[in-house]
Amino acid sequence: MSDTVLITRALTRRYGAVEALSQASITIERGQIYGLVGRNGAGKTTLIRLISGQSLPTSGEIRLFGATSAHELNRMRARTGAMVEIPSFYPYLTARQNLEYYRIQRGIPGKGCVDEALELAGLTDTGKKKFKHFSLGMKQRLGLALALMNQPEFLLLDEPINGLDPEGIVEFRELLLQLNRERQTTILISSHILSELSNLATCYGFIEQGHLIEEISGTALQEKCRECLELSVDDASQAALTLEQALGTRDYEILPHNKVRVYTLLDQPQKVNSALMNAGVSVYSFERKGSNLEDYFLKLIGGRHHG
Amino acid sequence: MVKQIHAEWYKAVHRPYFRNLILACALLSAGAVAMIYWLRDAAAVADQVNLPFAVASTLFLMVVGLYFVSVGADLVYSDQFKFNTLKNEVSFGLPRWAIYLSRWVVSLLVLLLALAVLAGIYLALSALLLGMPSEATALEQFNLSPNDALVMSLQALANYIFASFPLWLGGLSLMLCLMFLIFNNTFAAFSYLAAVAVLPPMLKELGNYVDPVFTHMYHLTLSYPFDIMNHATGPQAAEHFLLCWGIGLGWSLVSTVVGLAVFQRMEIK
Repeated sequence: MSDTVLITRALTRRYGAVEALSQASITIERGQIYGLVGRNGAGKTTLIRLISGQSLPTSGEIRLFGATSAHELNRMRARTGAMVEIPSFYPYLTARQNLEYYRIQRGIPGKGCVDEALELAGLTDTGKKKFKHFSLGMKQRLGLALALMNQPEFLLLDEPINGLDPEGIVEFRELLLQLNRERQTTILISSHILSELSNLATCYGFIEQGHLIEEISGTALQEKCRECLELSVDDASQAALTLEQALGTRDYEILPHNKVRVYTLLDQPQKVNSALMNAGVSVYSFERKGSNLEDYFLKLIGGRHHG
Repeated sequence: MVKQIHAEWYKAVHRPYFRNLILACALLSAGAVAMIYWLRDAAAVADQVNLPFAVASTLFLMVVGLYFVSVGADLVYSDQFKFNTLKNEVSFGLPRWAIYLSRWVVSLLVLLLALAVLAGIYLALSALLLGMPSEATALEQFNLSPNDALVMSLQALANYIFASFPLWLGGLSLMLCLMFLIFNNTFAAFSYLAAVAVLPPMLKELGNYVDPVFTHMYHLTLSYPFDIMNHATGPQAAEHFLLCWGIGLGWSLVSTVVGLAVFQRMEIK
């Protein structure tokens, strides 16, 4: 069995003259939680809509569980669960009736899956309350319940935590992590709440103006965002020698323009400074640095804009 | 597709619209019979207002079915775009043709049920309140025995329904096609009314005054067979049935193929 769940190749969607998605190529392996990061209108929803079949690509290829033809793709979509944009249901039906409708339609045997999905989403006590009387958070939960009802191998979630209260966000995160851990559910999730995304994702795709500008693993991102002491010195080679010989660390990085990043001794900056001074290295600036997903994203798109 | 039909039926019967429609049909039938019952005392020939008469009175109402089908399509389909629920089906990989055709089948089932309620209550109440004519009245009114008069009126009704049914199917298919293609249900309903109520008389008049080609076009509309529905009984019946089924199935086929073809590539919001 292939371990690749989804591959898109040069996926493009054009609306008239506007290219909502341009040449997007992503790969998602089984068991990954892929965080899609981008601003409003960057193309995240377009990408998810293309994968879920709500929109057809102008060009490019989607390979879902190895299938590429339209017919086969549709068959494979039965192995996915999707929650795209605001959850939509029939307002005159209750949560249970809405799920029952989709259960019948999808040919899922037994009514147990409806109860299980409602329980997973925390909607067991909605009783006879119609969907039209649900709060936004409850609607989101029902959307999630539907996405989970068929025990999908691959979950597509577009802004799923919008409208959830803080407690709901934590529960939702725990649930996704549990599904990923226990059922090896692969997840593609987009969110504006990057701090939340960073608690979940094992790899990231950054999307800007329809272009996928970077794909990076969680580990690599963590590495890039690691906390460090960033020094600006007159002689980077001498500084490196001092760090190794006087301070016994090799966990540093030389950057252009005589900048040095030291990833250890974070709580002893005076020791680093003294050692460099004693070795005759002039330190022009000394800064404790570290970034999170948000900073990284802003730097990425900022750099792109300035470039 | 059976699963999709089952699900659509489940949803349709849970919609308050469904209960209201069935109730309205029942009240309409009961009201019509009650009105005939109360008015018959005022009629000069009160004893001629009887069950065979009540059955025969429905014959001219067949064209109403062409408008009534829009209610069935509306009941089953009108909430799809309004509430954006199609994305839930498409993203699960349900074939679009199954989504489309299941709506068509369930609209038809709902309409058949409504028709059964309309006809059942109408006939039952007519039998109860108006009753059979006496031998003398039947002979005077129909030149037949009471039982033969009833059989004759029911036979005429069956012929009219047999001729009208494919035209209703054509109307239903056209209405559903318009609802799938036009996001706004009200606009779709008005477009349908234009196609079945406004266009045919226009073509007829254009045929009379501008060019006979419009007359040929008028003869292909769903309304034309209703204009000559009296052919459904008598020597021209077979020919009329052929015309009705040809036009009705033609409209059904073309509307469904067009609707399906466009829906296959439609962006689901």
